[in-house]
Amino acid sequence: MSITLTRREVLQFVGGAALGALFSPIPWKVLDDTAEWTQNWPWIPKAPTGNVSYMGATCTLCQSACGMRARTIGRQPISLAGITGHPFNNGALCTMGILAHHLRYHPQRLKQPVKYAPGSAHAAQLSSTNALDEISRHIASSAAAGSVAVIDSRPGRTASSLLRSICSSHEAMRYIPVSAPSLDVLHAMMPSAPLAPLGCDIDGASLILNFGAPLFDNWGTPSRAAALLDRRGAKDQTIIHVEGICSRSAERSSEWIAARPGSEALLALGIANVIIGEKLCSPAAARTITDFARFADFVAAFTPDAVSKAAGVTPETIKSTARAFASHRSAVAIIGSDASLDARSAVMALNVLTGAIGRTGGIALRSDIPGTAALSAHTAFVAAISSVPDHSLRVIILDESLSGCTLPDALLEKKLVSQDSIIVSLSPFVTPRPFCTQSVLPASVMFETLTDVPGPIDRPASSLALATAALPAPEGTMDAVQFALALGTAIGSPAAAAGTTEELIKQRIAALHASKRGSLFAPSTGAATAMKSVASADDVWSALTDGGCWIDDVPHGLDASAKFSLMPLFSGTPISLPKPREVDQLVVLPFAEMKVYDGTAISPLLSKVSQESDLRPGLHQAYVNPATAGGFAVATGDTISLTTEHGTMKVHARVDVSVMPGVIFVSTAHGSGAGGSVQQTSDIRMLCDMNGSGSFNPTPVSIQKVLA
Amino acid sequence: METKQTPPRYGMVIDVDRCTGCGNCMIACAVENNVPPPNEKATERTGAAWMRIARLDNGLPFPEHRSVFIPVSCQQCDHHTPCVSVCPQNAVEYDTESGIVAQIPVRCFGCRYCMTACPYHARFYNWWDPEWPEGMEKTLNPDVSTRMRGVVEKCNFCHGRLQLARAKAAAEGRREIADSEYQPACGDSCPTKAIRFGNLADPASEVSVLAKDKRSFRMLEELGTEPKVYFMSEQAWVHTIMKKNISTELKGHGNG
Repeated sequence: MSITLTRREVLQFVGGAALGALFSPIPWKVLDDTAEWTQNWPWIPKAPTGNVSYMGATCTLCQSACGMRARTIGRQPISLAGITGHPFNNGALCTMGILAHHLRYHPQRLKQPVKYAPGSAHAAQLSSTNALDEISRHIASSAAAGSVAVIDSRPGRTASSLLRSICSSHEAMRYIPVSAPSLDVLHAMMPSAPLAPLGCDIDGASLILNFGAPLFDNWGTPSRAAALLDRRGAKDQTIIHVEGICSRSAERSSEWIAARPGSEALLALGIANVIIGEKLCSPAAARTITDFARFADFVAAFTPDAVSKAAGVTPETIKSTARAFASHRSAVAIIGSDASLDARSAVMALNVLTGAIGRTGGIALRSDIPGTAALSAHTAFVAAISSVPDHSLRVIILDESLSGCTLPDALLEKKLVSQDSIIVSLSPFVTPRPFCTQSVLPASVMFETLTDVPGPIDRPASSLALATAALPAPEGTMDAVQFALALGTAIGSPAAAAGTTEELIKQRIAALHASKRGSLFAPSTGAATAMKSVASADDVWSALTDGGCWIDDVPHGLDASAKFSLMPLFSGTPISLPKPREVDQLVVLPFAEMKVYDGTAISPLLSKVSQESDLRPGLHQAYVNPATAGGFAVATGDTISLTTEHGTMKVHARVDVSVMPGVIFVSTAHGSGAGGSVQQTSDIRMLCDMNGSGSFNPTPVSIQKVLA
Repeated sequence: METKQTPPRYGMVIDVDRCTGCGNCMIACAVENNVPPPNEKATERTGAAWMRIARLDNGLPFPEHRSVFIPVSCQQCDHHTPCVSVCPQNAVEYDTESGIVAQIPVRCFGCRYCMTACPYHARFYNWWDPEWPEGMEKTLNPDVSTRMRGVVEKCNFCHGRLQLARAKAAAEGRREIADSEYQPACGDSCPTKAIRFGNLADPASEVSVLAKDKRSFRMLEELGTEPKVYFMSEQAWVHTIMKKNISTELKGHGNG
């Protein structure tokens, strides 16, 4: 029997099948599978696979030395978290710390030594040997004493000790540590005392008079803000914040004094005037000041009435602040790192006047960390960058292997002789400096090298932690100790034969253990043990390489023989009250919300806070008060042109009520920029007046809206 | 006889007065969930960030002006969840075992109805393929798949972490997970402990207690979507804006 199909039957079958399929899962399955297939292209990155484990680590991105727990696949960290109960950071990390494991793969990672000619952004490759030979040639030809500066961006390490030793072996070389800028003026106020590491006992202070330090925004350790908020809730700590912008810290402090930027020195001297005039200063403290009478004469001109107009603060506020500061048993004054030397000196003078130096809740003179890296061991060779005459350096050697606390390029340029000068830097990243010849040696980054890390400044006692190597450093890179040893070899210093990085750091740990001082925090137990009870140096090593830390005993108070001299710091650049015309000028000022990391390579993911949201200011953003912006018909998003006596640049306006009228703040922080790079730096600093300490003064500016 | 346990309803309480706007939650979220760095053309509206921090101002002039930071992610709506209702592809699901509104990128075909429906602007469309600098893909989280362009994504309370905690509990013969065993990356990384996370179905949990605090409120409460993210503040002006006007405030920030 044959089956015959008519055309009608075939069409009926096809139509029925199509209709039936609509009521079956087939089309949905096809749609689903299509969605799945089209999302698995080979160019979509895949996450790694393997056994997950954990390791302890210490962050080296700033001096806070936070304890970290790294989640790893093999030895590759895939995420980082703070160690709960860690004495420094108590489980917290900052935004940079969370991303620290990305730095190894940063697009701007330097793979081999490079050399930049002046004015050129083109990098010529060279070998490490050639680079070091070139350094030794330049040093050999620099006959003038102190014409070669070795700038240590993170003093207190084993590498720092080596660099200091090398400087001491050569007349032309001087060692310059970039220390905590708000505190280091105290060294100059105590000329006869040995150089001691400094700290600030924020936890012990009942009143903090803060001149612009970002207390609630990455100042000190990342757990600092939580501790301050807890104290605010308990109402047992007062914070008076002085700043010309309603910053995160200003808003969260007990009291905010909106002072005109650049008037910090005047305001602090005005407060000193009230303290001395009303005899509020501690008699015991006054006896320690050798030039008290001269200082009293000096501040006599800075009466609250005289200072008021320039600072934009009422005389009553100045008086009440002075009285509150002097009456608290443990008050301390601190200041932001971008303040001028005058301002830092005036603020530190307030601490001296009220006896806050060496007191609980004040500025702590810490004991040196035991071992060869002790800061006081080579005092004679230590200089501050502000004491180096302009245009006197022929060679600058920069250890930038650890980020943070770097000096502005404009300051380096100012210190170099105008011709035939060179900067040699050890850096993991490409860092062109077009104003002179520069050789850059590639450095290893976090998780690639062993290094010792002195602890944070917001604690009274000295401390030490260790960062370990989890991954092999790329060939050709070196750590800071290796760089110091190579530098020593190049110039024939005896320090060159000191040993390997691990040997030297183990020597330091052995000395630490032998001292029996302080306590050791071990993450494995979550507790601190007195060093006297720790059996061996190996136990110290194990705890520190697991993300732990050593904390010294809290130092005793000020030595009875301690003497302060306040005037020398004010005699260099006499402070004078501005004329009324100057007070009313429109000024521009650079600002960076995350100052510690300004000029440092960061993970591209940090763009989430600026490019993909407006949480942090982007590059070239100018913050203008509505009252100021209205006068120039400027709105948010407009392009404006800023002109100072140094030049002109265009920036993007953001009309923001949090900034003071008459002041334009321009971001120098990392921004995404048009090219997606996170490494561009604004030129606004080139438009502003730089002071001797490398920070910037408010600079008179004219503003013009740029029409599209 | 085995009694039936009430399934957990995970939620979050954010103390706005403790938030300093540091951005840790945004960054930790991106690391945990393999959210890529931005394309060079990405902006606030087109870039992806499952958690964003908006700044709210009290509207007063300098120096009376004050502001707070509001971390905004998916509010995990509990009732008439708008994105679930509109998805034609079942790519958004309400998980009755956790209360989490889950996004399933492999099912998503990018119609973006959910983004239109979301009143919190908490969803993000992938305009570009994900791309990390060379080598950085080695740092990706193996518990979370990367997503390609053309799909929508959003916060899922770090569901990968919930799965790990469940697996660990199961291996130990337990069915219940303590709040301390499962914390999303944002709460874990918050240095001021402004973000608290836990089981809202447990009346004794910290988040349950905080959610009932008189300082607590939810964003756009009048919509009746019953979000499981609560906010806390002692400042009355923050309550006023957050309950009624926040959509306007977020419009410039969000992707929806």
